[in-house]
Amino acid sequence: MAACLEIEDLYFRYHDGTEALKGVSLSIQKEEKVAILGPNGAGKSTLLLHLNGIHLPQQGVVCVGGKEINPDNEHQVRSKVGLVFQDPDDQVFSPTVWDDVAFGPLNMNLERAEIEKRVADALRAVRMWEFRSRAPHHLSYGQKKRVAIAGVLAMDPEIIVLDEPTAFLDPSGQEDLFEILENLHREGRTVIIATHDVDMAAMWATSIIILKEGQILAQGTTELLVKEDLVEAAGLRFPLISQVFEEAAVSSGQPLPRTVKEGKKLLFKLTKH
Amino acid sequence: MDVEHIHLDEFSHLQSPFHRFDPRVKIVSCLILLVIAVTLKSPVGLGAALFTTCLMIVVSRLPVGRILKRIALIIPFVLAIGLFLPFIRSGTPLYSFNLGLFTLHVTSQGLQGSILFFLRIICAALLIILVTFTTPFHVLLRSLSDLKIPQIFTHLIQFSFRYFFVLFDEILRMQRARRSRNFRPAKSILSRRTLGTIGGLIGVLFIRSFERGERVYYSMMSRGFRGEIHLLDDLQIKTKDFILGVIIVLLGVTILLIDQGGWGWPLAWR
Repeated sequence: MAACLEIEDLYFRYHDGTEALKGVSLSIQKEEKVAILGPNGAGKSTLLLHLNGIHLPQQGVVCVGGKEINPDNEHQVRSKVGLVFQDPDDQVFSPTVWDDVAFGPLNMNLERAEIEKRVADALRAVRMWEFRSRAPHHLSYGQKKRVAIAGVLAMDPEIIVLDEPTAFLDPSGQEDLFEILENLHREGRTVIIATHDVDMAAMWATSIIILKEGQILAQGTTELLVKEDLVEAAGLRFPLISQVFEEAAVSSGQPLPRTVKEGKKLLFKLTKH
Repeated sequence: MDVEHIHLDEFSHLQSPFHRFDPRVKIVSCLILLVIAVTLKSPVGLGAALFTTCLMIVVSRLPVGRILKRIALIIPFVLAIGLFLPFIRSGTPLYSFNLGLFTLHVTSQGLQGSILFFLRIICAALLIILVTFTTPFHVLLRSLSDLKIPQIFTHLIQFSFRYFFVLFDEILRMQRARRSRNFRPAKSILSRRTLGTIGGLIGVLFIRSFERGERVYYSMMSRGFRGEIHLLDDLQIKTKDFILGVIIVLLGVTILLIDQGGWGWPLAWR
């Protein structure tokens, strides 16, 4: 496995003097599913804007595929790292769904046939092909969200970054989103999400990054989510399943389950004898 | 979604020769006709222009009821100006109002001018409705940029239309939030508290729009935006379109000749 994204000692300060990032270093392996967690104002969104060169490092280095992002290659980086914004209304701006998904590929100066193929594939992948000639303001929130994802997918990025993908989605919308994320991962893409949803992170991610006050608090597996001191320091909480089984796991000497699946297994084990 | 879905182009997917008409030729030829229509100076000429326009609307199979509704929107504006005109043109007085200090005369020239003005506006509005109702909104924008309208203008229209609904939604939500905390606007808008609240609302709206603008820009950059929105040009002008366009322009020229040639009332107007 090779690191496809590396950040070293990244600092970023806004015009008003707010220090959003204070020495962030991390590395993300290829084909990982990464969840970045942290309280509001921890610098998650600022960090995400560095991943495809929207913000260039004021200090430090961001490397994508081994190449450092700089003003000369920031435009190439954007077709390698796709960024899906939290509010689809910020992203889906074109008069029709089709036009919006074609926006990225058109900026990449691709052949016409290739553009059409990519738009069709992307819209089918999020099951929005039937809506291709609709105007975005006639779509529901969940539908707009899917169009936003398609718009990034059509650029065929190796790494897809989503800011709060499950926010404001209804349960079935979240299910759909999960399926889309799983498919993206299966296609061999690296998927990174920023989220507050601890349960989702525990169930979905292979790697966890915890951010607080512009610094990395920890990076590791989902085990981090049940480390009491860490969780407390980061202003998070245990996944619900872990909360349910906390005492039972301790008294029976079993590892604390973090997902529904693990929880079921433990429950079965505890009630069998 | 709180805003009732507003369609600018709900009839743009009907089938008619006018819907199949290449939008660029349609815009140019109808624009020429429109310019001719508003320069007409005789009721006969304007009658002919109005007749032609109505004929085109019939051909385009647009529902008359909806067109009348749209027209009704501009009536107040037209009336406001149309009511003044009879008084400000000098000429033969038809009727006089004595207001003590001065006397107002309704002149026959003024009255005719007012009628002509009314007909011109109606004709122009009908033509614009015809074009916008028979062309999907995004095709209209694309055609405008094909016609070398600077992208800054088409983008302005496009973004205004797109984000109008988002902003409107935001206003509604803010309004509801205020109402649920029992805010009641005072009877007079000049009440200090009401003004303060409304001022706050407008201020917050500005800031939110500014921030949204920034996020929209970031998200466009994320997808490779470098100052220009590229379009796939899949519109093609066929001979048929060209002929139809020429016919419309010729109709316009004929109307202009009728108008100037003077059938009926004529020379006194020039």
